[in-house]
Order: sequence, then C-alpha cells, then structure tokens
Amino acid sequence: MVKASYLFTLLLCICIMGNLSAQTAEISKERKQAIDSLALEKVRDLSKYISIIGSKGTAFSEATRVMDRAEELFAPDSEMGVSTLSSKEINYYKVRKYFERLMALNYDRISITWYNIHYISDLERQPDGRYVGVVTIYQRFEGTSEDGLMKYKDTTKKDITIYVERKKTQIAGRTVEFWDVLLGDIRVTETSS
Amino acid sequence: MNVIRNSSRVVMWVLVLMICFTGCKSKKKAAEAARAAEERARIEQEANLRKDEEQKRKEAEEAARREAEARQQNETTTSEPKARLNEYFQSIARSGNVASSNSSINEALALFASPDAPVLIVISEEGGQKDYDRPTTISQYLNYLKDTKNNSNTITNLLFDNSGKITEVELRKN
Repeated sequence: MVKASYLFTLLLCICIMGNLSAQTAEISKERKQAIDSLALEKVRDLSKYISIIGSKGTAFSEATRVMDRAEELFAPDSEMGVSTLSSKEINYYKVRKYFERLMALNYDRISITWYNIHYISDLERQPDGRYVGVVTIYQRFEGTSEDGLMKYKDTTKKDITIYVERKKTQIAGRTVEFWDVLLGDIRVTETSS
Repeated sequence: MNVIRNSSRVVMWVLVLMICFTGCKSKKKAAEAARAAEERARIEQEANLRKDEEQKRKEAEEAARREAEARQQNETTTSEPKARLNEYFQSIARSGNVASSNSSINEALALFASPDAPVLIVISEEGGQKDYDRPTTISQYLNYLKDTKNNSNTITNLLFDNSGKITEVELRKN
C-alpha cells in the first residue's frame, strides 16, 4: 500500500515536471518568426561575404577581414562542399580553408551569386533546447580570365544546416540574453551547367 | 376720567406699536446689514478663491512650460547624435567604393567613446522582453554595413558618457 502511494506520487511529480518543462520551452509565433528571419539573414550575409572574398577587386586586407567575419557565422569545424562539372566527386573543406582557396582561384574575374534562399526544413526545437533547421540555396559561379581563354560556369544547389541557441553575455556589467545563429555544414546536392 | 384713561391707553398702545415698529425696523436693518456683510464676505471669498486658482493655473503653466523646454532640450541633445549616426549608416551602406566607406566609418567612430562600444540589435519584443541578435561592436557593425549594404535597422536608443561620447547603441530590426 505504501509502495503504491509512493509510486503514484512519483508518477504525478514526473507528469507535472514534464508539463512545466513543455510550457516554459514554447516561444510565441512572433518570436519564432523573428528567429527564422534572423537565420535567413545570416545566410544572405554569408553570400555577400563570399562574393567579396571571391572578387579579384577586393584588397587582400579587406578580404582577410571579411573572411574573419564570415568564419564567425559558422559553428566550429563546419565544412563547405565544393563540386565541379568535370567530376562527380564533391570535396569538403573547413570553411576557412574554403575561403582561402576561393581567394586564390586563378581567374581574373569571379562572380558568385546565391539565390532562391529558403527553408526546406523549418527550425525545430531539439531536446537540448537548440533549434535546428535546413536552408537551401542555389549558387551561380562564373570565372573568366582576361584573355577569355578560361571560362567556367556552373550552378550548384547546397543545403545549409542552421543552429539557433539561446545564450548569455555580459554587456556593461549586465547580463544580456540573445539568439545565437550558427551555420553548420554546407552540403552540395546538385551541380549543373 | 374715562377719556383720560382711554387716551392714555391709546398713547400706550401707540408707544408699544412704535417700539415694535422701531424694533422691527431695527431688526430688519440689522438683518439687512448682516445679509450685506454676508454677501460681502462671500464675494470676497469668491474673489480670493479665483485669485488662488489663477495663481495655481499660472504656476502649473509655468511648470509645464519649463518641462516642455527641458524635454525639447533633452530631445535635441539625443536626437542630434542619433540623426548624425543615422546619416553615417546610410552613407556607409550606399557608398560605391571602399575608400569612401572607410572614411565615413572613421568619422562615425569619432562619435563613440570606443570602437568596441556595444551594439545591441532587437529582433523582437514581447511583454517587455526583448530578443536580441548576437551583440557586436560599433566598429564591426559599421563594417557590416559596408560589406552587406544592409541598413535596415533603426536606431532606438543611444547611451552617452559624461563627455557626450556614445557608449552603447540599441537598434531594432525592421
């Protein structure tokens, strides 16, 4: 009899705690929308950084500064997939390495444009409290040499894993909570001319 | 004998009547005087009340005028740097070349106590609770404007130190 009542009390406590946990974890639709928009904005920012890094008109010091900013968008150890029309192989590089290779490409003019940026998997709350989603992008790459002999164009479709986490920091002696958006691996899913 | 008695009775009655009449008249006069005095007192009281109210109204107007002046002074003090900073944001984001952007960045940084002055960007607000993007510094934010040309945030608050330099910026995403 004592055991039964003890078990019942334990079960009741678990139910209450589970319910409370679910209630505190939910955020409103408007807040979720703001986080969704913030994450998409970070992807668009990355596309602009890649365009600056790849441009032959960008000074080395500027390109290095922009690479630093672009790298800060990523979670540690994230990788970027690179494909080519001439091979089925897809190579993955740490993002810093990818930026350095991009800057060193042997074209006189490079144009990289990202478009059709949208969620293919909405940001969803995970058991550890983080939100995870997937954004897909189409990338148009064009590289030309001055003499016109070298020319390469392709279009790739890439999927970007997005992580959003609630974090805290100290600003002027007070604690500020913020949503930290980090990009994960960028995987190539299609390559076409 | 009867005539004398009757006439003295009449005289007595006349006297009584006169006394009464005089008494009444006096009472009436006294009442009138009292009423007049009352009226005077009432009028005086009303005049004093009006004077007090007028005085209070003038004091309230003066206080409101001083408050409005102080508010305007405060707005001028904060709106001027806000407007200037906003102009720099626009100039940097619209600039067609890196040199011009860098020049605007350096000018904008002169408004700040430090290039590491924090910049907080509100992405949403609900029930008084603000959600922020990852905090950055003014130096990094100005370069962000240069790189992305994305000047969609509005300046909502600036904090200053004693020398009038900006120590913190709050922006709101539109």
